[in-house]
Amino acid sequence: MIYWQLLAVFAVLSVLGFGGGNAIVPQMFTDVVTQHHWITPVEFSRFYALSRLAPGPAMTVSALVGYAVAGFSGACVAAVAMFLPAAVFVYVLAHAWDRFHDHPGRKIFARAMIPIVLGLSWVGAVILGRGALDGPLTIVIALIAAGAMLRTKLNTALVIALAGVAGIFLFHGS
Amino acid sequence: MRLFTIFAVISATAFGGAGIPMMRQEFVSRRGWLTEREFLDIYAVAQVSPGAIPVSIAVLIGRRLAGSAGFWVCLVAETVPGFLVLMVIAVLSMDPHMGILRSALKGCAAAAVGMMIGNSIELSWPYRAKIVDLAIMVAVGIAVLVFHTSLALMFLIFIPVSIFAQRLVRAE
Repeated sequence: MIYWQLLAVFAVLSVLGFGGGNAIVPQMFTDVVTQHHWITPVEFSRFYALSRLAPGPAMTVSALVGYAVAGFSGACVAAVAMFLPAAVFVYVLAHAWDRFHDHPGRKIFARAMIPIVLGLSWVGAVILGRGALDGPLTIVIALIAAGAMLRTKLNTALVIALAGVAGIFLFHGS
Repeated sequence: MRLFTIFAVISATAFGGAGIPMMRQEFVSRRGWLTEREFLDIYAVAQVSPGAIPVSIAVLIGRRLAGSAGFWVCLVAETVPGFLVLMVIAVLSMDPHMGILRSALKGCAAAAVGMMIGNSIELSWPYRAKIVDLAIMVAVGIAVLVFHTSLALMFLIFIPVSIFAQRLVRAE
């Protein structure tokens, strides 16, 4: 049944989601686009953008996938599967943390995760780019947005919203 | 109850990843329910565990201030309002009659790619001269893009490799 599949896919991603939302983008793409064919690569890139437009973490993209596959109830199942397992995990970990407060392994683990999460973040950018960049205009928008991230302190949701306005002028009716 | 209200407001209004500074301000600066040190401690746990960092921080604050009841209150308050806002956006944008919104979404998607690139550059920049980190980043990229290694297998391979490499660098 579709709800069980949604639950299984996002619960696994939930407990593997180290380093925040962006590191699971590649695996989520494999699961929902390549494996299950729930959405297309173009939809995946657009859903990701929508999730950045709304408040809350990028992982809420799971709810959009659930919505596309099975409506509002699908969105609920996907969101619970995405957030509950990780939350329980962190709750249990916090108990252990109180006991092994200054264990040296903690620091080494955190340090070792950095290049892995960064590598995954670059892969995520490549995967989203394949679905979202289809010509010079989209590439220019992406470069401007990258520049805005690096050079200004503009709110990310604002940058996405402005790009949406630009999209209406550039692509509508063409 | 007050925990619920605070997180519900943050969840519905933290556009563009503004959640963590908002929480710090509410709990440390404004109300003094947590010390700076306690907040940093919670942040550190959230960083080494799976899950979205703002959600992890929310449930840990709930746990610290109100035990397991606080966990549930903060989990619901931090995720549900943002989820509902997202659903409204989703319903509007997936309406097939809204051609104008599809054009807008095309622009949004392009910008999201650019921001992810910008974010990756910014976060990688401090490690640009560290050969070990660069090698692992490239190896992760090749493993996932070329060999389609699953995320679980990738962690199983690269976490031990990366830990070993960091120890080696430190020993020198």
